[in-house]
Amino acid sequence: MYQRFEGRSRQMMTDNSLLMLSRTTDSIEDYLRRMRRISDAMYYDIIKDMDFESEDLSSEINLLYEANKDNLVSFALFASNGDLISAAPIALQKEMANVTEQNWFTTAFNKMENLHFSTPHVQNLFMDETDYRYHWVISLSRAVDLNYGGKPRMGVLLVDMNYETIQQMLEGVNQANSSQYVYLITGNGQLIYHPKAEQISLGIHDENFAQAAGYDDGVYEESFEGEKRIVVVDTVSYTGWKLVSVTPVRNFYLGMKSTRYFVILVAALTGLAMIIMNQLVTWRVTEPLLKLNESIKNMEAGNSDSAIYIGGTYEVEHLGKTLQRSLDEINRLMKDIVIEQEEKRKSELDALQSQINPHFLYNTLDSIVWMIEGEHYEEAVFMITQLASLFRVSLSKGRTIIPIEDELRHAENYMNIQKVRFKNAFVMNYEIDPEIKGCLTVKLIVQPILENAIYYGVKNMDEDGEITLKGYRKDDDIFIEVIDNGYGIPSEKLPYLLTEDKRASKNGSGVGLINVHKRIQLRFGDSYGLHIESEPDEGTKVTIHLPAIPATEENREMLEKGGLRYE
Amino acid sequence: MNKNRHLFFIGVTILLVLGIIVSAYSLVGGSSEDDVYNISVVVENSQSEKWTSFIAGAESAAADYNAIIDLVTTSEFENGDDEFSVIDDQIINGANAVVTELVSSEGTAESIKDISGKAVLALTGTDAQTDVDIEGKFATIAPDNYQIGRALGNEVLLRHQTGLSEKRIGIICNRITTNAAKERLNGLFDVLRVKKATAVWCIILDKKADADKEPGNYEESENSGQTGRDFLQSFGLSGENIIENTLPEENGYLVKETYKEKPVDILVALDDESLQTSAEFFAEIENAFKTKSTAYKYETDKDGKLIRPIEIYGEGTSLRNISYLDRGKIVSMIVPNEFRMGYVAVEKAVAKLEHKLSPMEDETVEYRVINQESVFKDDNQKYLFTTMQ
Repeated sequence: MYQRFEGRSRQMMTDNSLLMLSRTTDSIEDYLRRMRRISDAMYYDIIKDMDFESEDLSSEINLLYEANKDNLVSFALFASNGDLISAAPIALQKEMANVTEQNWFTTAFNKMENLHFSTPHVQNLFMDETDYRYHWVISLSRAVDLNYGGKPRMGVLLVDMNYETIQQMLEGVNQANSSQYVYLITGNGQLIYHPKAEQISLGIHDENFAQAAGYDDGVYEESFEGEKRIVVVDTVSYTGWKLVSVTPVRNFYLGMKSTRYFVILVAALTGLAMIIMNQLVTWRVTEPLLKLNESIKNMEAGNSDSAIYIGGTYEVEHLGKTLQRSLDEINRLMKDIVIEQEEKRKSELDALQSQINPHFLYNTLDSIVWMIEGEHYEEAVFMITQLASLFRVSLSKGRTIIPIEDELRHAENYMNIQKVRFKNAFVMNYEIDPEIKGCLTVKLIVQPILENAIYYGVKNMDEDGEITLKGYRKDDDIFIEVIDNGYGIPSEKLPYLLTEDKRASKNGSGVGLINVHKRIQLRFGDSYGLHIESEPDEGTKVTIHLPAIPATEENREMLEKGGLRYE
Repeated sequence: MNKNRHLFFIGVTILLVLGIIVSAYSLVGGSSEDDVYNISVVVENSQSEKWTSFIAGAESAAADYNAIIDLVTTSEFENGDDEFSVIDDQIINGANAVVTELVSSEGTAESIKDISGKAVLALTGTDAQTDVDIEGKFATIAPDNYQIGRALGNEVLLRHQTGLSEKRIGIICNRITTNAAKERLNGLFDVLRVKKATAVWCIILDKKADADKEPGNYEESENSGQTGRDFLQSFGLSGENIIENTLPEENGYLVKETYKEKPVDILVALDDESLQTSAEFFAEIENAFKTKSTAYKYETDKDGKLIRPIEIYGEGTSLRNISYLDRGKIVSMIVPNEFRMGYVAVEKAVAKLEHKLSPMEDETVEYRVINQESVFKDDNQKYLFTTMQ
């Protein structure tokens, strides 16, 4: 592409040169034509009709001179012996001039029909005491026939053209360009005008005139003194002069060099911009994504404490943050599971413990012994069967989930035993809705509450202690209430009963309300559990809130595994 | 792989940045090309016509080598110090180089050393007294002045092959303080001595040695009176025949008076000004003859035409003198190549400005012997008449 551009550029410059050259040639031809016309006018219109013996040329020659004096230095007519016949502007002939030996004179006689243009020279014809100037001229001369009273004589008509005219014409063209220049030579290679004429005559500069003179009109590429140049030649008509334009090829390259550098500059800038863009994208997007990926891999590998990379563009950052949050959530949930499993274990352990409460067994057996010793055999058998049933439910073949029916029987067993032991210090009421019996529950939740009701409620009442066990279904919920009319729970202790606080003292079976509450919640969820209401000296009501789950094998298995908590 | 890619990118980036710098610099730097140098030309009477060819040469070189010529407008210099102070001013005002023709070659060592340290210096026409250690820091471009002197002598001898014993020779020069003048005198007398000829008198046109001036206005060594007198006396000229210009009138007057008192047949002028003065004097004699004045003695031939009263030979360059030669007032003229001198001076100055470390070398320019017949010989036309505007 660069070369195409170079070629075009060259073509354009050459065309330019051709155009400029032909215009200049036209100007020169115009000028020379005008000069020839002056000479013609003088000869054909004036001299031919004149009789030199009697007539004088001065007024005519002066007229013609005046009309053209911008371009002329002199107008003169010489006899064949070199004597001056007439001249304008008027001047005296110089003695030492040797007119007959001057070039223009001899050439005029050599080819008599034609007009001859000389090469530039200093005029050496006239003498003027006051004028010290010298003029460079181009002489236009022709041999003429002069009529001297019928006798023909030869003479030479000379038009000395001001060299300055041609010089200025060509200097004007040369100034327009820097290293491109135009020069003028004769058909023989003699110099007429060159912008560095002085330097050439001094030998400082060189020009291949001889070669140029040999060229026909046209465009040539040549090499001169190690420099390549384009040479355009145009011939000036009539004179055979050649106008030569020279353009050093490095002219193109100067412009080309600029263009080339410009192109490189633009390309380099573009490349740099692309790299910067690339780097920007990488830094802001790609790398963050990669880092994010790395941190995820880390996490997958199991380094749970590895942080997710947060950075890069907004989107990548958001990804990171979300992932981090999810990770944290997972971690938290996992911790929760661990805690809960731990709770469960503890609770189960507690419950397990309660199944075989030594104190209770010891006391009951004691009572039985006392009964047997007292020969109250029927009461003893009743106590033993109740005890047996209680323990049967307690074990329940190792199951944790049992039908409410069994749980209630367990409660009943317990209460019957306690009633005997406490010598019927209190009354037990049952208000159980039969439909709840067919639902499931966690075992050993009622008895601890009843235990509390006895030991904190009615034990120290002298009479009229009353405990009611109520059970009913409400929509999908089952409520089991233990109501006593005892001393109630002191209001300070009330809030702590369902916590693990040491202020809630444990007595009796040692399981406690909190255990029951937790076990229920663990199985069924936080919305279930115990609820305690108490009025000092009035009574206490503990409500067990359970979901109504029918006692099917399916449900039982499901509850046994993990309960409702995680559904 | 990441590191390699990284290195690759860094490498490419560096390349691109380099590319940008280089091309930007070339674009900007290329368009401005070389610096343009300011060269001041300091010569006496700079507007005089005698400098036309010289300046043309200087301007020509300036165009070729991208320099600007500043021709300082001057009149006569009182002495060498005068000229040096003008040169100094030019340097202060920003001239990179100075081209000058010294009006005195004596006592110049210090000044030249000083100047050549501050700017590039090119001396033309005549060399000067300098220290050895500043060779290469300036250059002298001049014709072979000794040979010019010899050429003058030879031109005289050529036209007096039979002998000079009956001919009286007068010498006229503008200044005697330059080496050029001294060398020309040497050359001239070396040739004349062969024919055992000598000079009757020597006129020094320079008004500097004016007795009216206060003493101490000029350095003792520059006083043409002292060393100049000594120099001339060594050629056999007695003190009274060394005529210095102490008159307030113009130069022609001095010549006239001297001639009237001691007429000569041959007058040799050593420089352009004195040649012009001589030719004008010759014209005056011609005029006087035409107006039949009795101021001078004339000889006429059988036709009543005036036989040449004086043969004038000299060194010159101005168009005036060339026209005097053309009209026959001057017999023979030695013309140094002033155009070339101006051209080469500027050329060397620019070369030194561009390559500060390479020493400047002197150059001798040619001269031509032209007489009335050869003025318009084709080769001489281009030499004598410059076509430049």
